[in-house]
Formats: sequence, C-alpha cells, structure tokens
Amino acid sequence: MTCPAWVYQHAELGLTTSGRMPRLSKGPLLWRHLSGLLLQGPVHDGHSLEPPLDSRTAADRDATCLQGVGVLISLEELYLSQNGITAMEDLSSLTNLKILDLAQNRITKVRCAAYPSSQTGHDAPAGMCWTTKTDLLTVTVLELPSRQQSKHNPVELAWCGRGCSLTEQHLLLPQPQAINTGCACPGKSWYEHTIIPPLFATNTCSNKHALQDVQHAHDVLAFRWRTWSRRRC
Amino acid sequence: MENLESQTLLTDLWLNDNPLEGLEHLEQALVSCKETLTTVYFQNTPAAKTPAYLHSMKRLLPNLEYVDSVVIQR
Repeated sequence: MTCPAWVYQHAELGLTTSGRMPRLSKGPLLWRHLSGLLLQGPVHDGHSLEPPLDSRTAADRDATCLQGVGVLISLEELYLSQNGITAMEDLSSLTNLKILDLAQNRITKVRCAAYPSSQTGHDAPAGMCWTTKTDLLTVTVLELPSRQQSKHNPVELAWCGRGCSLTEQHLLLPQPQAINTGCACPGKSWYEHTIIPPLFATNTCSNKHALQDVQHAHDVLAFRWRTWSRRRC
Repeated sequence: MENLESQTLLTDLWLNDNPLEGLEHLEQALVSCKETLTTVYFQNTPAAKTPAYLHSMKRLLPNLEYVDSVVIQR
C-alpha cells in the first residue's frame, strides 16, 4: 500500500452522520507521511457563523472535536473549514504545518497551553507551579488501539519542543520503559510522562539510526516543553 | 484551540467565520510563527470587529501581507 501525499475529499469525508469527525488515529500508519489533508465540510451559501448543522442534534454540535490529527506529523497543509468543529486537539505534533484553515467552524477561543502567560502558576497542572528553574518534559501518550495490543513496541516521539537545541524532528526513545514514570489517568485516552530533557540530548545519533526501524511503531506520542518545578504548591 | 504557539512554520492561518470571543491570547499563541505568517483571516469573528483589530494584526505580525484578503501596505 503506497502512501498518499495528499488526501483531498470534499464533503464526503467531512463530518460523519453522527456529527463527529472521523478518528484518523484508527487509520493506517501511513497517515503519518501525509503532507496535505483537505476535509472540507458541506458547502453552504453566505458567510454565516453557523455551519449547516440543522441535520444534527444539539449534542452532536457540542461534541464536534477533531481527534487524531496529531498522528499526521508530516502534514504541511490542513484544511478543515465548514465542519462545525468546536475544539481542536493539541496541534503541537504537527511541526511542519504551514497552512491551517479552520474557517467557518465553531471555535471560540485560541488558548496557549504549553506556555503560561506568567510564572505564577497559571495553567500549571494541579499541585505544580510554573517556574524557570527546572525544565522538564511532558509527554502526552495517546492510547491507540495498537498500543494495547503490544506495549513493548518502539515508541516514536514527535518532537515539538520550542527553543530547544535538538536537531532531530522526530526522535525515537530506545528504551520507552525509561520514561515510564508517569501515571495513567483512568477513563482518559491519554496520560502523561515527565522526562528530564538530557535523556534525549544524548540520544540523537542512536535515534536517527533507530528511526529506520520505526516503520511499525505503534505508539504515537506528542510531547511538549513545560517548565515547572517538582515542588508542590 | 490549543498549542498554536508550537507552530514555527505557519504562513497561512484561516480562522474567519468562527465565534472567536477575543484575540487577547493571540499574541502569545502566534509568538513562534509571527515571522512566518503572511496571511491571516479573522473576518466575521467578533474579535475582528474591535476597532484595533487591523492595527493589532500589523503590529503583531511584521511580515503580514494579507489580512482578510486585504493587501497590507507597509
């Protein structure tokens, strides 16, 4: 099966009948090589703020959150207009993104999640304070079905750090168990690990070599820099 | 929408016709791509109806060429 460079679908692959976007993470692994994705919703006239949602229920309208885009780590162009999207998942793994079209949806806020606006604890995890004293790395692990089948496959990390010195865009952690310091959150489809950055800083060469063996990796991680201290607030 | 600030190569951002409440976090959200962004669309959002909208966009994004299909004269 060859990898498409682009997926261009108008309306047909837009919102499903339930009003939700398809979960791309359930698709084949070749999604990660996709450079362009157009999933445009049904065309309608005018410039109303309201996409044509009449055929959907209020519950559907409230729950239209695009999921699975995080696996498209090579994506350069993403067109998702007119899909009634109310929330986007974390886009931080899409480090090659150049064009982002979310026009005519239902997005109400643009928030900054990775960086707090101050060092006063804003947006910090419960029990943590933001600080510049200690740089730690938070890894968000997406629980894909394949991960449940095989928990010992190589773990691919989609690097999305900012202001870091690492040159590898995609890193492979040879020993995923080394980062197994986080705790799973029951009932959620993700959980987080906290990592000390030097663990990666010395692994760039081996990561490059190991990347060749990651063709069948089953875990997709998105991680981002956060600065917080270990001390409790 | 979160973590827009992780985008460093973004050249085009289309958020027009969304019920965006305000642009107060936009400066921080676009901090990583403010040099690369050349085209933004926020028209038909409540945020774009504020008087300082266009001026704010120009100030925030130094390489901006188009705001809501309007060519920016520098």
